[in-house]
Amino acid sequence: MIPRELLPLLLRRTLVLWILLRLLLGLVGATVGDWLLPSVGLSLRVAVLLAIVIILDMRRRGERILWGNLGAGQPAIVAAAVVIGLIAEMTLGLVLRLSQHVMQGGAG
Amino acid sequence: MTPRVGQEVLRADSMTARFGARSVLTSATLRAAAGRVTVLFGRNGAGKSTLLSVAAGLRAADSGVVTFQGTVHLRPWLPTLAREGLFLLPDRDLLSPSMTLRDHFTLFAHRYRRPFVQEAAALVGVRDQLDQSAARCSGGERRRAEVALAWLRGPTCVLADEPYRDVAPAVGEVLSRVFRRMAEDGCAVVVTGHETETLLDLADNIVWCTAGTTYELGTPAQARAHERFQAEYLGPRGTGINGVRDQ
Repeated sequence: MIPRELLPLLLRRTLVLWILLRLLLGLVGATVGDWLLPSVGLSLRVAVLLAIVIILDMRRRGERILWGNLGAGQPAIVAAAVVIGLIAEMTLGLVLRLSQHVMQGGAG
Repeated sequence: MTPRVGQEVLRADSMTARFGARSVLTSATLRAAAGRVTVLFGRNGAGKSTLLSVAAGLRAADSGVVTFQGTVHLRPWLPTLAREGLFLLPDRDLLSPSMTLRDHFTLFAHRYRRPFVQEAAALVGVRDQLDQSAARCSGGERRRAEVALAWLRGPTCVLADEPYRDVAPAVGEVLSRVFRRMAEDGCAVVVTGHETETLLDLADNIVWCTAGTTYELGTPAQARAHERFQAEYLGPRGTGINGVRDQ
């Protein structure tokens, strides 16, 4: 379980990493096409990548013991990051579908 | 419930640990009592850091049992022990280089409901550095901030691994003052290091870690009088090796 005092920091960091990951995926997948619109498969892959990036980011910052002293273990941090990532993916999908709908409605 | 002075808070019993083929701890025991400062001496590679790591649940031991505040932990884990009142001060940097000292202090103050950020900073003289990133602080400032963080958390037990390493004597005095204050507040303090005179002045109890096991030597006076400890650790003049590395 993540102590609630740590959630704002974790939310901020995870969203920044998610945006960077999405941009990177965009650069890689731009030539393939349809890289932006989340599907279930793509969102799950993004969430798994986000979990890996979160672990690497914690190691880079050397924060394992700091978070441990705050009562937060790495599995809980990774799980929270995955949930945040999936919510971000769903929100992105919803916004894109709504904007498509609005544009199609405007064209019709 | 706050433990009374002298009551055992942490007991890491009969710990064994090996790295590959090398046995680091063969049967080591660490006990920490409320209101007491226990100093763990031992040559480099004797297993001090490993003993602290397994007692704090940072690293898994091969066998042994950790009892913290009366609860037996067969597989101790730092986040669980930390929620119950343990604080681990590692031998490397604790602070995140991407956060300011104030960020760290505020996080602990909110998490453990101890709104004493200014007091903690003043205690170790880092008020002027509060809004500085930990990465931009000097080694001495970081170490003082780490010890202040331990005080701010208000733990029932703190395990500090070589906190005096590479700091100026004046900084060492500040650290000793904070450790002593924590003990006076009822915290069980365990410190490792090679700064013999400083640590003998600070200690209530001495434990000697050698060849993977531990010996409880008693008070600093009793430790000084211990012939084998003097011969094998303190040296012929009894002044200690004072940080000289013997790798």
